[in-house]
Amino acid sequence: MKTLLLFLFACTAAFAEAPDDRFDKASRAMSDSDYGEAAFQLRELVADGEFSHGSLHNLGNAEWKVARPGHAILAWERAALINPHDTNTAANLAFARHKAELPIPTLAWHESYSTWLSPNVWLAAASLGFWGGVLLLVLPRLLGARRADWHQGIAALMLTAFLLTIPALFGLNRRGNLGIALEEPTALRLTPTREGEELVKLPAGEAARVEKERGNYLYVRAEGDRAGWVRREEFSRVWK
Amino acid sequence: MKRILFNLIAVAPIFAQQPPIASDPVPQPPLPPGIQLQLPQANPAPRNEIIRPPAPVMPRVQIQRDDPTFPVPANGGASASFEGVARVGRPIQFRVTVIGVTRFLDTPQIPEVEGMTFQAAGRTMTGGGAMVFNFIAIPSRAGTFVVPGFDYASGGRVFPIPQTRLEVAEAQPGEARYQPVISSIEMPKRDFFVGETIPARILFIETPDESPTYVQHVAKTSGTVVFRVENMHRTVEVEVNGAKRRAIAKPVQITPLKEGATEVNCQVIVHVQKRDVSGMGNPGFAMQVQSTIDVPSTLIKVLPLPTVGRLPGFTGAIGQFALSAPKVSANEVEMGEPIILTIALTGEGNLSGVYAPELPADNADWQTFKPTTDLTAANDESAPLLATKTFTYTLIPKRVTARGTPVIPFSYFDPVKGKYVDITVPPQPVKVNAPAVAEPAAVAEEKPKEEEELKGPKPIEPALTGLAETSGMWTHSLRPALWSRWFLAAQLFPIAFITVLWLWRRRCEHLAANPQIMRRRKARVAARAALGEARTAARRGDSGAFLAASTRAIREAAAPLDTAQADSLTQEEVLNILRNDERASKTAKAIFEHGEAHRYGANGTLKPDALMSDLEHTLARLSAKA
Repeated sequence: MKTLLLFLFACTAAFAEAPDDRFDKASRAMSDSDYGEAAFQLRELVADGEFSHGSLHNLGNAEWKVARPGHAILAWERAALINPHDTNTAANLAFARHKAELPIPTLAWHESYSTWLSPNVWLAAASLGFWGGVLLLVLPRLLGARRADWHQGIAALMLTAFLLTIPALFGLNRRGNLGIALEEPTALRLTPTREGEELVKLPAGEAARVEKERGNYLYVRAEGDRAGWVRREEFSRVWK
Repeated sequence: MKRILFNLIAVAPIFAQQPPIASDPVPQPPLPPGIQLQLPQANPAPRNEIIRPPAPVMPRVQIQRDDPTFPVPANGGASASFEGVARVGRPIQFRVTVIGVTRFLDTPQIPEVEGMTFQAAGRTMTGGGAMVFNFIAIPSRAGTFVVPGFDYASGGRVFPIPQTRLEVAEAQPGEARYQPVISSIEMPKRDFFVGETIPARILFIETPDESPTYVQHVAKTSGTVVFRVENMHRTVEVEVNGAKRRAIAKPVQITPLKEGATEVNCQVIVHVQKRDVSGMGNPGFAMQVQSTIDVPSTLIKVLPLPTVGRLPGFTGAIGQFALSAPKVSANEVEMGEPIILTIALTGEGNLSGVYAPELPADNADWQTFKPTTDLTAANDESAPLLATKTFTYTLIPKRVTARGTPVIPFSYFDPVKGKYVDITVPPQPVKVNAPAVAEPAAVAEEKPKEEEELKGPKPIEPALTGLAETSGMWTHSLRPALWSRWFLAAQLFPIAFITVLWLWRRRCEHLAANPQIMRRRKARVAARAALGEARTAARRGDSGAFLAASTRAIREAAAPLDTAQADSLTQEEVLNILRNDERASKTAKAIFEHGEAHRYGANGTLKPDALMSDLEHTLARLSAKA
């Protein structure tokens, strides 16, 4: 029995496709206007936990072509998260929101500030700035050497860089609650139950913020303070 | 009862005195500046009498019974005759009478007579079966005229009309020439612009010989203009060569279509009363005829609309206007609920051809629809173009961030000032609330083509971009590492590093402050090494090496207990340290003494194996003391 299981595992591993292979397959399908196949391949990548800017950008295009605007906007938002400077992804988001007449999510200043760089770049900058500054101040003393002026200058610069990352880290934390309504329409209910009264309906692709969770329901708030409970299947956070 | 006179349809009785058209004098409304004919201002002018268009013109028919004055041909068939005294250039009545008819007949065609023109002037029918056709004849020369006899066929019968003679005399000395009705087009004296609606009027001025009664219709026009003729006309008094004359004014609106100089004229059918058709100097002896009048041309200069200074929102309005305050149906609405915005443009100009100003197409807060328009004329005689055009917009707020209606650019061209005037519609405050139940916003469908075309230049719309050619770097999570365990664990490494470094630094400082610790540690290490050599020597049975190693081990172990170096310690100093331990003292003494003896060549009886345990005891005691 153990041998059989090992054999099956080995077979599965052998047949598992590399992410780049799936990406190439999806790109060929898009070239052939087979958007359904392309969307399938790219969705599989997301389901396997494999994310890249290119795959998410193309997934957005494929989902838009197969008339799933909510999923398309979600994919483009995720692509913009990985590479916030890609103009194509930003243009696609603007295009989709214009076509679907969706409001552009309002971001606080620190949230907008946090979009200047990708999240991991902000984290790296914060870590390097803080620990670099601290070490430059501490190491000379611990090593028994004299603290030179350049030590203090560089330490000041690095600690300043760290201070500049603090609003961005706060903004990143807030943006973690942003999500996208996937289905058309997505009902916001008064109570987190299937029979809950429908308060308002969100169009597919509209952004909202998750405020709390209960079971299979999320309490979200959209533009104009439209709030209510939404099923998890109908809503997805941008940062999965 | 023998004479019963009844009129079935009578527009103007023949040979009857016509009542004057002008009536009670009232102040005359002011005329536009620059007109050709000025109304008298000093004396009260007669009240303008609006003359509605008459019913479809029917031939004047009068049925008379047993009228002894009515001429009936003696032969009982048909007759023709001139009535009155004929003079050159003056009208005279010509009458054709047919008897023995029971129904109306067509007007006969009078044969052509050189030097004389005939105009039909109605027909009458008597109760005795006689029908009289009246004509106005105007001779153009003096002498004898003969109207030849002719057969008049109508109603399946033929009536022989006899020949008629007329003697026409020359005009009397000092007698004025016959003056027909004077006509002209009256409009402001200035240059006009293409598309402008010019308030004008056609004047028909009475003369001593003719008086206009009403204008039937404008038959045709000429010039690169559009004539718009009003249904009504009115009687006015004008001044011609210093004399007041009664006239009929027919208001028209003229719109030039092309720039440049153009001549404007028209041909109008007018009913005119010809006075003194008897030729006997009796003005009351008049007859009404339908006359076609060619109105003399008026030259106007038409300029193009200036392109310089044209303001946004110009939709073709040319004139002088004022915009009323915009009105909204509600100042607080829910998102998605329509509101009505109404603006009214009032003034004199081409309001009928003015389009509604378009809302900006790229408005993110409002969904807009094609506006509707409504034109209401003021019916003001003094200002025939005065009207109000109402534009109604339906707006639906798309976002709660909308704070007011959108600004609507609007402007018009003032032809008097010769420049564009800005009348932009300002935003009206509207509060937009979130809806209780919002409608799903479906993916936008394509808007109707007409609506798109009316919006003017299209804004650049976003478009779907191309695909990514490379996948880029792969990651297993979209969530930032801020919340991941490895990131938090990684933050512990610098902390641990700094802590270790700090502890190391403290230890170094402690050792530097306490050097005996290092001396003891070094002594212990050296003693341990020497002890090992001694054991080795003991196993070999090499007493000399054993003694040397043992001596060195004892000195190294005792060195921390004294300030001297290990090599410089003497036997006495060591024994002094071990004075409280007899076994250790004896062992140290024996090793030192045998060692000295062995150094100088004596071969002792020392057995290294026997001394090993004592040596270890001695070293243990010294280490314990250190």
